[in-house]
Amino acid sequence: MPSAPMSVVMNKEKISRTLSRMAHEILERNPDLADLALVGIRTRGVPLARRLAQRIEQFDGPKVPVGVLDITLYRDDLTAISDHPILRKTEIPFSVDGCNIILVDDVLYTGRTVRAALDGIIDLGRPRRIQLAALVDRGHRELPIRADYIGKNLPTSADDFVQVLLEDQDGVDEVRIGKLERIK
Amino acid sequence: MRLKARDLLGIEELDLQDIELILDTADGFLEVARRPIKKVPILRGRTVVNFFLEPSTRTRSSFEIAEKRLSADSVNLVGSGSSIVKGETLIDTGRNLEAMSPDIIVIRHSSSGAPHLLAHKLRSSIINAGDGFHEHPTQALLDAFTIRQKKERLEGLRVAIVGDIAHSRVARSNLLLLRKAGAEVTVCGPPTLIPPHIEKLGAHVTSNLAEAIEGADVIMMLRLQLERQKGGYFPSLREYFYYFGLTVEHVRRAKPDVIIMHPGPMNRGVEITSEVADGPYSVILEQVANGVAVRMAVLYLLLGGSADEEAA
Repeated sequence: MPSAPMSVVMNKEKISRTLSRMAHEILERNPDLADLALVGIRTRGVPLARRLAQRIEQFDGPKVPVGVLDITLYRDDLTAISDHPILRKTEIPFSVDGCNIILVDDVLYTGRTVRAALDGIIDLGRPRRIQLAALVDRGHRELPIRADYIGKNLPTSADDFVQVLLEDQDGVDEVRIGKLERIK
Repeated sequence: MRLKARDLLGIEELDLQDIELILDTADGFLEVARRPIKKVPILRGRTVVNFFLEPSTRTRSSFEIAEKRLSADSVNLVGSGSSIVKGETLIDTGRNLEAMSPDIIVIRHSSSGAPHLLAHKLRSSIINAGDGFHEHPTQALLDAFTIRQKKERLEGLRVAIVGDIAHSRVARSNLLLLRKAGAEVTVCGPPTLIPPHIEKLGAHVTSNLAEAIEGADVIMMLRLQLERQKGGYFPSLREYFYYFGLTVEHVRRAKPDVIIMHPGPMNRGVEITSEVADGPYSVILEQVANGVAVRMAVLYLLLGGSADEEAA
């Protein structure tokens, strides 16, 4: 857990404008929108995927299906963490075969979550293409993974803590950064 | 979140929070059965021994499918093919199994308390898949999961458990779980097949089927365990059916949205008519389908590294 104080690096307005830009980029780079689908990674990738889908539709795009992916079963650190994350439902209401899927997550960091999400999606079928969208890219990758759509590049050090808060779950739209409390 | 214990020996050892964690986790595993590739990698490289010293079709295959869907390696040992028939004791067999370092041993045994003995002697996690007349926790958990799926709650429901209560570990585990979750439970059967003092576990007791079923949300029928009965509990199967066999006429006394459950294997025409078993209220096959998801949840929750590993 981070120690106070945290500073706000993106507010509601900034997040909203950033998501609009990302939606435009998605429209621009995917001329064939017919088989486009968004998949949000639990938990905060889900509302972000819904908001992107909403904007794509607003900007004269098609109605894009949104799925929910829980990566708990694909994690590589289950024995290392003391408390199991609670397994929640994966709900992908469309066939991923032949789809052009955009994975959506809040923070891109080591890349391990994305690795797990890729395995999770591929177990469900054979998408034609998978792209990645992240609201914040904070660097420090441990795997050869990069995002196709980035909301904000946020230079951080390893002891920083980046927190994305979204209205749907946290009552407020904010991206914050602070120092991790040193334990022991 | 994790379970508080490293073994699943019985419902008795679980609290309501553990039970809810297992049921919620099972919810997430249901979807795996609907995939074209029914496998997730989470327990890759883990070994589970299924040690069944009593006949079983459903429970053993359900555990085995659950293990395979989680990518664990499973080994099956059955009583007739094991060294138990050559005179080895349970503890020795257990120690020999453990020397091959399995992560979990799933055991079914005809003696009550056999899983507890192994849990005490071995380091592996132990799952009780039925011990004597004592408990069958995963069956009670899958029954609770099925009830919750249909009724969206357990608290306040009226549940009738009917049949051979005395020889039934399913009845005992279900009674314990349903009482912990706040349901009202009536057990019903011939007085010879009702164990003494069962009311101390919180059950109403009756030998009148109509009374037990009146206004019930859930009816759980139990198999007449003829292989465990030394005889003399009731005059004849025909008479048993007359008094305790579930027919369509009985079902009308229950709530209009009642569900009928049976842990299997069924004796059609003894404790239940085919008309009821295959009828619209029956959720018997859904119980079997849910069993895989519930067992996946238990295996997953027990195999996240033990508490002492983390302290080190």
